[in-house]
Amino acid sequence: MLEVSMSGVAMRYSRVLLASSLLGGFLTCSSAGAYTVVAVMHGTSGASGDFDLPNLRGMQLAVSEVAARGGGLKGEKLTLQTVSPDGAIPTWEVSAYLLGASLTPAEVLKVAAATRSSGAALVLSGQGGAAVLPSLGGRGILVGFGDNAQAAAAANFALKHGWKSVMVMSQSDHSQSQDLTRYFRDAFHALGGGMLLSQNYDSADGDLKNPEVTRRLRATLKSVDALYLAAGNDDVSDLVRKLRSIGVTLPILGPDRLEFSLPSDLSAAQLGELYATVHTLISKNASGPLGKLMDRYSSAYNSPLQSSFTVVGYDALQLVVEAASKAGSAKANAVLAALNSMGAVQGIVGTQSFQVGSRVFSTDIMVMVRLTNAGHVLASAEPLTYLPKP
Amino acid sequence: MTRTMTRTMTRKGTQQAIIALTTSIACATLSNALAAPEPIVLGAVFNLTGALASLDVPAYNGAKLAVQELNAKGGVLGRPLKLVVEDTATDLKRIPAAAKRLMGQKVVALLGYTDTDAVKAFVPFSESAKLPFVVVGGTSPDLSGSGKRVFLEPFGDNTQAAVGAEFAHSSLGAKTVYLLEDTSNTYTTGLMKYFKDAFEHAGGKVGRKDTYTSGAKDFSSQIANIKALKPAADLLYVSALPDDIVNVVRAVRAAGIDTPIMGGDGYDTPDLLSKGGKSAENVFYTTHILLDPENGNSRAKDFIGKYKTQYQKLPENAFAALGYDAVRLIANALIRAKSTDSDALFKSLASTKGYDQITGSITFGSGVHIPSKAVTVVAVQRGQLNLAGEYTAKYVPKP
Repeated sequence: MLEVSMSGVAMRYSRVLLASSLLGGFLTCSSAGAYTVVAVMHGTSGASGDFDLPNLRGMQLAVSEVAARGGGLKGEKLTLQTVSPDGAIPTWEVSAYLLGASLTPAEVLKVAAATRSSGAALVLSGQGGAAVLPSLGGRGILVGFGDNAQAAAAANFALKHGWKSVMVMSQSDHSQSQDLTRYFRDAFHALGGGMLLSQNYDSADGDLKNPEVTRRLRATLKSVDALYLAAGNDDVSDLVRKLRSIGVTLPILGPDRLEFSLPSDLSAAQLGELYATVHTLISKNASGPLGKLMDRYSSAYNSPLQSSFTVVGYDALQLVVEAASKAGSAKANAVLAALNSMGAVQGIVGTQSFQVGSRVFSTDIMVMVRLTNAGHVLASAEPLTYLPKP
Repeated sequence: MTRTMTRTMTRKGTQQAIIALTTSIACATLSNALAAPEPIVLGAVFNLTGALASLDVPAYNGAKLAVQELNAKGGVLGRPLKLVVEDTATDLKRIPAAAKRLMGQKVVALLGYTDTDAVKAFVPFSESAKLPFVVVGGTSPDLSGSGKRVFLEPFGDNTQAAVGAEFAHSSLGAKTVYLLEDTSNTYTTGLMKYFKDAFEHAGGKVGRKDTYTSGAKDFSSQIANIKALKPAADLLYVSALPDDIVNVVRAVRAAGIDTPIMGGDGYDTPDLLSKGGKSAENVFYTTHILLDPENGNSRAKDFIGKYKTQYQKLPENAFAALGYDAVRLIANALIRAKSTDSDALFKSLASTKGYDQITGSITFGSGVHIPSKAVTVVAVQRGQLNLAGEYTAKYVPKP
């Protein structure tokens, strides 16, 4: 039996409610279940929604799957409750928290403080999670990959293409962007890169309105082979469009944030080479577990699965279910202990395992895709040879 | 009657006086119109021949261009500028005689040189004459201060070395550096001292330091040392004069070493590309501006256009802009001083604040006449000079 409760930010989640209703029969009012997973997320529209809506839908699909096989743990009810990080967060009878990918490190810390009494695991899916893990009192676990991993994958990708001089554009007022820059720099030089230039921009100038900034950027970009956008929470789509409009034809690489940032008004020629690290390749031809999940997504939401954050959300919830199963208990401390002792876990994104010395469940293969108007095209899939320290 | 007569006489007298006065004024005006106002003479000293010519000739051309441009707009204080020049042919022994000749030409200010040693040799003469001396490209921070009437148009070597060190460590990822120093010149030894300080301050390590003397052709022992270095150097910092850097770069590359090479504004010579060819790839240097006709700022583009019109070629390097800026800096101070008196001009120059020029903004601090400008880093890639950025140093070694 399954219950999915939507509370706190229900009004902001109207799209989710609408979509969730398509799951048919799974939505009921919450009761005090012994097996409650709380998803802490922003809204499902705007920049946050880019991450959170697909993320949440992945969790919902996992919940429905658990329900279909008779519940997660000896038949107990599995309740997925969604709350806003700005509102009251329940701490009673919570098995684990799943933190949305759009939460900033500061918000993650705030949630950690508000839920300390629960002792429950804080399962993060990206967005700067690696940087705050040490500050979460042993409760933080990151699934998917850390920013250190995705920055290193991009650096490795650039160098394998012979792009030995690269410029990193960083959002000066965004901590995750600064972390990505640091990790990319570390990996780029460790892997034998040449010149790495930096260009900061603040979110107010995200679209490069300042002609002096544009002039300098254009002049400096003549000396590099590629551009890494250490994108934060701004509208990367506008940034890519502006860069192309001022004549920047260089290959552009970026983190998983770019997955949502395809300037749809640009032709293939205008778009040029645009690459991003993704948690998994979403392809129409996908088969196996991913293909099945895509089918179920289409049925549930009447649209194709397009974001790998859906898969991350799905895997994150399944990870908690598996931990509870392994622990033989849905109690918070038991689930957390089980998560901490799990080795390699097979998820849809691939085999995930704890990175040595960290609390990150990272995929064994890092995937980079070329973003095109026709969808994602696999550009590279290989293990990391160097991982910067968080 | 009497009254009438008196009135008549008075009226006549007045008329005559007016006529006389008018005639006098007209004559004086005519005389003044016929005699051109006395020019304001600026004395220039450059090494227009010899080893430093590749820096000093563009600098002199820039200075001439500024004078021509100012005169076309009516001169300064209503008087034309006149630039008199002495070529000391990269020979310090020629400086005393050149200085004597310049001082005898009623100069109100001096400018010139792109090399520290030349400046040092000339300063006693400019100080003795109590004339302000604007150094076009000499970059030792020791040149100014202590009440001297010496003003640097460029930044100091401690600043450019610091930016070089930070760029090497941060942008090139250099952890271990090999140092090669020309010990024959104050500029090269000073630059190296500041680079080492700043690089170690940034967390880098010096693997080894070797030396040579300007004019050397054989670098085999230094190359053997580079190859033997363990761990291998991530960067070779070579503090060299313009005439030597091409020889060093060629020798290093011929030995199969493709490690990045870095240095100061002494590399900013057309010879680096024209004579260095492919050997110059992966060379980086700090300088005052990269005069990019395509992507330069509006001031730089304007200067490039004027220089090209005047000399039928693009400015050879940043020193052309420094020469141009130096003349305009003096002109600006003359206008603010409203006088050509040397004391007034000195005070006016010393009070320069936020004066925007092609190579950056000039503000002189109290007692120290060295501006804090941004430093340009140039990368040689694919046979071209490319802008690698304009930086301000976080840590600047003390002079």
